[in-house]
Amino acid sequence: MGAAARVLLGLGGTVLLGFAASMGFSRALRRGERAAWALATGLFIQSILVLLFAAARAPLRPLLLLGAGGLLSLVVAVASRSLRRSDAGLVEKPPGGSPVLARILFAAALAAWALFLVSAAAEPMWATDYLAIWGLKGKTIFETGGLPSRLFRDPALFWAHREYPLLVPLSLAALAGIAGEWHDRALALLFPAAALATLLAISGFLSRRGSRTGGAAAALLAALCFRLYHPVNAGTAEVIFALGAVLAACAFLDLADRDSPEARARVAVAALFCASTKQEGTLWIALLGVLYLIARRRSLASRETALGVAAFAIPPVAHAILLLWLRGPQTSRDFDVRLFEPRHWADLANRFGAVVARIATTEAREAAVPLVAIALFLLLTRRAFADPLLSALLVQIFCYGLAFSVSSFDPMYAVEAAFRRIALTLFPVLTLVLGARLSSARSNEQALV
Amino acid sequence: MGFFFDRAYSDFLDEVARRTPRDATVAMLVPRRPDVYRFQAAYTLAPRRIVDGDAIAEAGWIAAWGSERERLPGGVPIGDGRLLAR
Repeated sequence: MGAAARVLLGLGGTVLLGFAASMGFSRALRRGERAAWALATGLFIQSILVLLFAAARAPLRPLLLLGAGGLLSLVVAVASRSLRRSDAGLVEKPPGGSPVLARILFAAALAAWALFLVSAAAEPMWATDYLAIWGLKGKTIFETGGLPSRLFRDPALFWAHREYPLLVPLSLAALAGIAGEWHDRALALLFPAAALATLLAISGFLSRRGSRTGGAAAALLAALCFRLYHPVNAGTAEVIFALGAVLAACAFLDLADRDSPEARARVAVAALFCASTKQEGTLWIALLGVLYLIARRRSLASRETALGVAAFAIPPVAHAILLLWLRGPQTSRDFDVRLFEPRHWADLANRFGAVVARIATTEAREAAVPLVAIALFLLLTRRAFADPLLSALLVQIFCYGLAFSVSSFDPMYAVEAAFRRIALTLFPVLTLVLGARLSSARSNEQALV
Repeated sequence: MGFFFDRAYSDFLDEVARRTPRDATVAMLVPRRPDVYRFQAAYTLAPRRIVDGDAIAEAGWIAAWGSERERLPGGVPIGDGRLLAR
């Protein structure tokens, strides 16, 4: 059996493990959503297993990994049985919208996704960030069967971003363990798999909360984001974070709509997934947590609100403590935080202005047509249930601008090197907003007819 | 795409990987630009520890490539580079 087939089998095993473990909190969701939660949960479980294997100095063998994963999933599934009932009514409502149109739109989304699949798997992963950060760590973990401290302490690896979270390297190491070898072309399949899960999450969520057509249209829009779903992002954390950001957004919207232990569990899992994928994942969860507090402002003192806040806050904090324990304190060489001190505020304002001007005259100008189209769509359509995400998206982008302003290197270089790449990870979340508005526009039309 | 900047460098790294133990520390003398010379060496040769030319004292092996190979007297010639066991 070829390496690609073994990685595909590994991905199938990952989804099965995740499916068992996520059954308690995803049973009431649509099938596509459940598949997306299964992949995310499965990747997380396997990453934990790699850490446990490393601690036990056990080799990463396919059967051992799958067997231990199955056992762990079973334990989680049994432990979460009590969650199963309270949001069973989530899918009572049949999805609205034309099923034929929805199928056509989703088929187009799959065709666009297939382009990413083919281009990502056509050659070994080659992005600079893959070689220097994600792939280097993943391969070292797989080849040594451990988490060598030099990954975080060796001065020779000063460029390898020791402060970054480890879900992507650990997931690559786990898949390589199941496949039995580090094959950097076959392992690229992880990224189209995450992209497909993102599309399924978007279409499934919107067909449950909005309409089938809105869900399929949003999935198509996300799939057409070729700058995100590009071979250069096979091997980096962007595509994986886009999945986490969408899952977190869906979980937040469910929790804000109807408090339930399942929705809280989904928030907690998505929070853990986002925080362990990219540093900006923690920021995204924090912003969603603030939105949740705003949504619950009339019942801030209730037990449900406290549990909801805990679902947003505890996983990132627990993750940060785990990382601190695993690799010691790490400082980022990317940022000069002294610029936040009051005596540097004038300088900070100048730098921020320069960053905004640069983004406006380069990135935003290049994307002017889609940006204007999105703005017009938002102006001409009515507000919908996913609109609160817009403010979180804008604040997240603002924070990116602020982060570039305190860059230790030339802020203009930082903008050129990273802004588009990290901003586009949020586009699939934006399609949730657009799809929800489309769903509500169509249901208004149908009501009038 | 991974070796767009220097296709022959790929064969050199494969050969260095074949001739050095997995727990070796290898000092890489490679062109400073593009910086992907350094990143490809670290990735392709993982789990070996890769250090720059200024940490040769820590390395059991020295590999030099392209314009940098003149800095390494002796060693085994491999393509446009050299490999030396210390």
